Amino acid sequence: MILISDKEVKQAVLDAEFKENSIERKIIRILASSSARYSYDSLEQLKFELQLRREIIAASYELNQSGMDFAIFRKTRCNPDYWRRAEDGGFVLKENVKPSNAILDIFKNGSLYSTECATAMMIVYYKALLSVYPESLFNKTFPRIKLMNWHQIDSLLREVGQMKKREDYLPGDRRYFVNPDVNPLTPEWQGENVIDLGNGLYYGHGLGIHNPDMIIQLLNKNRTEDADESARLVDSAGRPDFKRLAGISQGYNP
Amino acid sequence: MNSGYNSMGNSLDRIRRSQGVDACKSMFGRLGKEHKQNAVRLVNDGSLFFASLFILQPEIEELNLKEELSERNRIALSLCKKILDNKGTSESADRMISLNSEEVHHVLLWMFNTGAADDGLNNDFDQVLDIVASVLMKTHHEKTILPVMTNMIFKRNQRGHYIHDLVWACFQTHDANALRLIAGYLRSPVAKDVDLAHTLLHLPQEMPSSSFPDRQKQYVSYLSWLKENEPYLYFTGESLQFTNNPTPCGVDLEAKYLCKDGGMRGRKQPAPLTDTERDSLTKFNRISEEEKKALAKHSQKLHRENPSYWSEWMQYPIDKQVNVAQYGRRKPK
Repeated sequence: MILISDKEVKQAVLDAEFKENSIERKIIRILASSSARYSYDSLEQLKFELQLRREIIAASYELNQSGMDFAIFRKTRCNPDYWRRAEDGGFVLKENVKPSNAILDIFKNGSLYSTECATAMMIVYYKALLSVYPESLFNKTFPRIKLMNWHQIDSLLREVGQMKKREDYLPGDRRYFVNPDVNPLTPEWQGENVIDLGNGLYYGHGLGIHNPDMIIQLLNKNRTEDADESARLVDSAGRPDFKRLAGISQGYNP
Repeated sequence: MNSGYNSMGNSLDRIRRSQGVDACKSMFGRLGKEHKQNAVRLVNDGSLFFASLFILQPEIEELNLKEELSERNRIALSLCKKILDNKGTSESADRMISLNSEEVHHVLLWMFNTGAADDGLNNDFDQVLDIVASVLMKTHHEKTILPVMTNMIFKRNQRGHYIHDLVWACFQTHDANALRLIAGYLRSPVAKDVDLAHTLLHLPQEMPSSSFPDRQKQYVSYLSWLKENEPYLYFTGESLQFTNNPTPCGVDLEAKYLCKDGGMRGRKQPAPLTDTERDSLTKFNRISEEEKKALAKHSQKLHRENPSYWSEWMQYPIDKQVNVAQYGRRKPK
């Protein structure tokens, strides 16, 4: 059920705002038919979430095409014109570099970068926000960026790192495939961070875009010889705080 | 760093430590050309530290000493190649090495115990240590390295180095000792240690920890929780790769309520239940989560303090059990 200012809004009313077969309509359908209550302060707040989710998916496809390679944290690479490689394998935005340019460079010069799947998720979120926010707002909101995983994350994106069981799983969610019996020689196969693309497919950096069965199959190929537990999709998702991010957008006066 | 290995090493180690890696490599290279057998003897010496073997790989290759290496060194170098070539599962020249064998187990222990002192030597070396620790934990369930591993995790964290694989390996033992060792850092005067201990033990970050009495109180309180729940702990497998707030373990409330130690740990192979126990669990699973927690806690305490009364109490209807757990033997007003 979708509530806007405490009043239920029917799917048909919202559908009229978006194209047929759009990802927004798909998300609205899931929210409206759910037994859970999805509450928004305004229509704009809901629209912001839908737009950001659409951009998260678009950024996933773009990053998959960028030529960025996979590497374990110990072997990561980045373009030194924009980023400094940290001791832990993360990328730190250089001083006097525009955050928006540094994020866009990853998509333009993907072959200069290699990293793990968790960092790719962060890149996807920043690119999606850059598509939704005006560039000046993006640069003002994220003046210091560290790309690694959930541990030195910008406080505005902290919730992305908090995996919780959800009533419904939505396109644009961060999900995780875990591989409990991973071969200890290749711990990078212990799991895969992915974005739900909304069409039964998931984007995971290093693996590409696949359905869940294929991702499980790929992970299972990297298990111990005596493995008895299959890889699986974990029943939880990480989501940014869409309302807080919407508030920043709505309160912006250029 | 406490490496868990007390030997001083041999002359190769001493030169490496006092004069640096390059001095050690050039001394070994010279010796190999002039007195090959002396070089072989030194590198095969039982007291050698793994880091010295690791840095001398190019010289060993160049001097063509591979065939004369001890079994320990051959296995260790094959493992390094396997790890650094990232050939964990694919066919490789070293596929004959079985990670499960006792011989490999001993070599892995030597690599880790003597290598830990040189953690930070370079990225490749640290990667090898991480993987060696993972194999020791996951394949050999080798718990003796836990103190050294924990120390490495916190030292690396202080330096801002990569810790996630080592943390993951640490929890692969599914051993409460890992939690106990991490809890020791709740008392550390270093704020980074305390923060990491909070994260790894899934304790709230905002707990007061600026003074030693606060930190000591947290430590004592955690150990008391661990003592109460250790027999019923199960490890979740959650890692720092998965979430910024991992819950490494949970308490199996059903097992705690029935006071069934072990067996149910890991939730993979539940111990066989009697009909009475199964009946008790059916009723237990109908009450709220809060009541379950209270009941499990009371049951465990009663079982420890008064086993005969516990047996009697377990026969009570579930609502009476809850009353006793929440209000004591007296009925609530």
